Amino acid sequence: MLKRSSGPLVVQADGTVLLDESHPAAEEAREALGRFAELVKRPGTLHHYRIGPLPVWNAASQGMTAEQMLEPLRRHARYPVPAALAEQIRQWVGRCGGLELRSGREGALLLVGEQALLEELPEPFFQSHAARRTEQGWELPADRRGELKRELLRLGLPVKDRAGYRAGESLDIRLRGELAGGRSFELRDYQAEAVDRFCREDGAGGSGVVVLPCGAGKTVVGAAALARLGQATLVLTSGSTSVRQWKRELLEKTTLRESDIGEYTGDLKQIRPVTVASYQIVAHGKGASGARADGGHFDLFGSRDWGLIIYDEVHLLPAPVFRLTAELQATRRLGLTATLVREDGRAEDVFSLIGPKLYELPWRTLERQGWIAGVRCRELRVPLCDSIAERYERADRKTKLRLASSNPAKLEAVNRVLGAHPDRPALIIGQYLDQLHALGQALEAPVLCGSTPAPEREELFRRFNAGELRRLVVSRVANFAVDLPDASLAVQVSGTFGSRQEEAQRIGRLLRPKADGMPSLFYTVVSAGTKETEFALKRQLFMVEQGYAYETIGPETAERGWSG
Amino acid sequence: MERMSGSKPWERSRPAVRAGGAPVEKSGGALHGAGAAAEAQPSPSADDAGWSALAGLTGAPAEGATGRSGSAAEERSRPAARLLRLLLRRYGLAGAEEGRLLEAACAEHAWSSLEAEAALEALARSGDAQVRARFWGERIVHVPEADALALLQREFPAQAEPLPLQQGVRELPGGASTRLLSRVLLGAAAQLARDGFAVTAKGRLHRKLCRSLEEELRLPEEGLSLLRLPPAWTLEYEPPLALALDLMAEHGWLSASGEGWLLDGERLRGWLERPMLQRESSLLRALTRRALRKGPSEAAAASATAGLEPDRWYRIRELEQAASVRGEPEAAQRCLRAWLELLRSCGWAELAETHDGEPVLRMQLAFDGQDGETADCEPLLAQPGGELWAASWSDYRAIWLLELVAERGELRELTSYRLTPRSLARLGQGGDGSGLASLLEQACGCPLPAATLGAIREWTASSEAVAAGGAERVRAFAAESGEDKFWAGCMGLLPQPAATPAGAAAARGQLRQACAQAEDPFGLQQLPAAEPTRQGRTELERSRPGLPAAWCEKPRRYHASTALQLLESALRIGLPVELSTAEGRHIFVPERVEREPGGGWTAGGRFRDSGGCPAGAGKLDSADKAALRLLLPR
Repeated sequence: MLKRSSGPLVVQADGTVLLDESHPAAEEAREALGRFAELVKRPGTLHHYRIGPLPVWNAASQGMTAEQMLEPLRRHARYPVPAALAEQIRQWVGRCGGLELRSGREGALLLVGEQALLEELPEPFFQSHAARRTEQGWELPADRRGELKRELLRLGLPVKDRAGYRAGESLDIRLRGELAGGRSFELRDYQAEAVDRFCREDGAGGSGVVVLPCGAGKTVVGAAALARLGQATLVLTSGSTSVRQWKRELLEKTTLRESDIGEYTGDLKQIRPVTVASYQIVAHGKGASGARADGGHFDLFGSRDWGLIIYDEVHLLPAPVFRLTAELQATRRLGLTATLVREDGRAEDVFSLIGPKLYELPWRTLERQGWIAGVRCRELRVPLCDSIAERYERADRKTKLRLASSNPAKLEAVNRVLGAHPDRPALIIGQYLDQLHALGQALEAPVLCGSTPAPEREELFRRFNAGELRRLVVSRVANFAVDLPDASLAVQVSGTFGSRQEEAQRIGRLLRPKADGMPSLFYTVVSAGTKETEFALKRQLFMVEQGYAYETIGPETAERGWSG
Repeated sequence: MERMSGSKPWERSRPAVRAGGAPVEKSGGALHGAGAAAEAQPSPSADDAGWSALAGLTGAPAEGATGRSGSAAEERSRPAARLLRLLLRRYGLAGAEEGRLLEAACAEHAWSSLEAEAALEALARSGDAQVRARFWGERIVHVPEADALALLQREFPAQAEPLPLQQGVRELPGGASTRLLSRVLLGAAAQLARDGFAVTAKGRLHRKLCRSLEEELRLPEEGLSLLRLPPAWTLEYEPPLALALDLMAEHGWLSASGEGWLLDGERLRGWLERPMLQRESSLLRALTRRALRKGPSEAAAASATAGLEPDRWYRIRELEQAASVRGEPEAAQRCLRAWLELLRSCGWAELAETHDGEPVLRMQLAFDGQDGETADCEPLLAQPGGELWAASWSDYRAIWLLELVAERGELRELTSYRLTPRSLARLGQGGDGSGLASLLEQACGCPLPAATLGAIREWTASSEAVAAGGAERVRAFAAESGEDKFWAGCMGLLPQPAATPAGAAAARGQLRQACAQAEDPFGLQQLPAAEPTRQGRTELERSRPGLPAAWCEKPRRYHASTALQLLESALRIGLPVELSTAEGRHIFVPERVEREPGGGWTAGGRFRDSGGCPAGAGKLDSADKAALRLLLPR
């Protein structure tokens, strides 16, 4: 490479992009890159991104052209952008939407598009979908819509779905202009834009995913979409706590009445014009493993004429719901998430079955605008406690992580952190119940976990939000959709392997803007020199991608003030 | 008087392309200068200019052989220049046997032998060509190697025009390579150095190492076939390795020693410390030199890119045209395509196409190097996982260190080097690795990550020090060195030869032979300089007094027997004959005269392109009534 400039990016032909974190323009480059590339690792000051088809298709679905992707690469690249990659990006973008699904005669589907792309498809492909050639294109049965999209995506041909949506049962609903207590309410600009994109009538809307940081009001976006469409809606969310939170939000922000909203959980099975259900009950409830005909909870999907299905925390969508969603392609679908990363590698299914990314706002942008709180992250490394060091050495890989995560030395570190920030309402978050109970006992703090009855959970949340409780030890049940607006300190003591979305979701608990305007603090306590540090690095990728930096400290500096 | 073809030359229609030194417009091209037309046949007045080269010869000036203006176009049309072009286009740097060259010139330009001789004399006098004699008397005419490129560019100035700056192009996947030849060469040198230049009893590198090096070098076969490499290398090794060894020898990295070959650390350091673009340009020139030596078509291809402005796009079609006028068109174009691919694979040129699909090329560096370039290097990037990243713009001394101590990934924009137990073990250093760690820290300009330091300690300790006293030679070398501790440390990493291998003498001999072959590829420099032939001139001087004055004054019609004598004299001396007919004036160069029974005769020869008629073979006979005159030099 004989040409060079001084940019922060090194773009390589295989789609790897290295971002020099120490470069003055790194932040600008990262923001641009984050729109169509994924951070895969950050071994040091060089962050490794990968430009792949899915991030490119998601960006293209938001209207980005190949040249708009290449421009920042060229502007920030230290060496010329390899032509092979530029061509690859152009090809990906060119293939995105090169085929289109339209509605054909008598409810059938019509697959049309560029002849060259259609010719790429093998004959057996059409045969397997009972397709027949017509003058307009290939005609297929309507029930193949989801499967067809999924297969086309696997073949590298994301199809534009313009086959339209059926109108569901009509519902009289509006957003309120004034909330209880006389507070006025209106959509924030970004929320309105997200709703506009979803509700576009030009065929580009109607299904897709809105990505907003935790605390940015994704529920409000869902409620607004529901109000705009005015049709019966099924909301699927992560658990019973969030089911209730959705219900509260809908009652508070819309003109829906209590009788209009049904809860469909383990405790209640209400089916109403707006029904909020948990993934758990839909996917794994009694009868869920059988066919819908056996009366299982899958019948929920057919129990009303839903005009819209909202998939809250869409990154958690379980496999059975994917299967069902494939059959519901004529119903509008809105995915909501803060972290569109699937640890199970099913991001393609989200794209093909729920829809492409329609709207995304980077976390830092919202932080700058003051809609979410700032957050500072520290990785606190503690030595492995002598009592388990020997066992650790002998243990297998999986047990090693378990031992490192439950390192008893973490208790002292947590104490130090809490001692350093005595005024901050704190969450202590972990994965292992025995570790959490031990911490709860030592810190004299209640422990909230999966077995905690719903009323007790609600009470704990209420007390925490009211300031009666300063410390709360929580398991992974609090990863999502738990609204604890006052929490401004979180100490993570263990987690699910290298889950990026879990880390981000936990940090998301701290993002509600604080009255004092101070940034929240997030500590992740990691056993130094163990497998846990490797997983910790991976966990942090999403936040780093969003522009957050982790400061690595030792236990002796846990009380030290934050720099900057 | 008739043409062999059956029609008289002056009755033939004008050729499609003819010009006397004026620019020729090629279809669709943008060639400039007279190169494309340089070999076109001269005008009647131009062919007379041949005699001006015979200054000093006695005799009346030929009618019409007037003095010529010194314009560039006319200058290039001079016989000496035309002979030089023939020499370059047909024989290249290897040169041609004098007699064969003169014959070819006579055949190509319809010159008489004395005219060709005069052209050669003028050429030799100008210094553009040299004549050397072999001991058995054969004389070789050749152009000096140092002037070859300049002569090609001067004599065939056809040059492609760059695309306008604002004109965009479409980049092509694979249109550029990240495998700079300097990096590839450095990797190969490091591999050889790590291996201690071990040779077999026959003085050859071990087969396994050769295979590994050939894989490492990965240069296009077709491109390498354009290069003339010393047979001492090519007889033993595949072209990629032969080229690498040749370049290493040329740069002085390889020197002969008691053990066979030895790495000359100082020469290597000097090369590594050169600024990036200068280093690459010197390699580009080295490859160009080898292509110039190979043959006319290869030289034509290599010279077509030598004058290109860096960072500007050129149409490959125009480069092909430029190459075509310097060699046999089809072969030159074929060579050009292989040459461009070689330039691309060395990381020096980029191929793309215009938006209407026309292939274009851009050189990424200037042929003569970049003026004022400074050695502004990028630091190595040490990653916590033990990886070290180096760019092409990193300090090549640091890269040399990495090549020695680490395993390299694919050569890319940023190349990853990984310290591994194997890579450290093969150094056979032993000790605690602190010397090596210190070198790496110097190379990176920052402390190494703890994990990397730990790995070096652990892996170095576990490797066995292979040579006596080998442990921590790095530190010892560094301590001994006064000025450049870093470089001394790097050299300390190299294995010390344990014993003189059986093939050492053969290896030394091979290196010396290769160096000699590279220095004087055609063995011409050892030959004594010689004067060009004077055979024709001697004959003229001898015969001149016996020639009737009337034969040389103006064209006259003679009796058939007198005409026969005139033609026989022209043939013997090597003079052209002017024919004057009702249609005009023409030049005939007799090549044979045959007497026929009954006093008749036939003269075969060539009509020169004159009087608006193209050149071609033809004949005169005793029945022809044209007025004749001998054309004598001034």
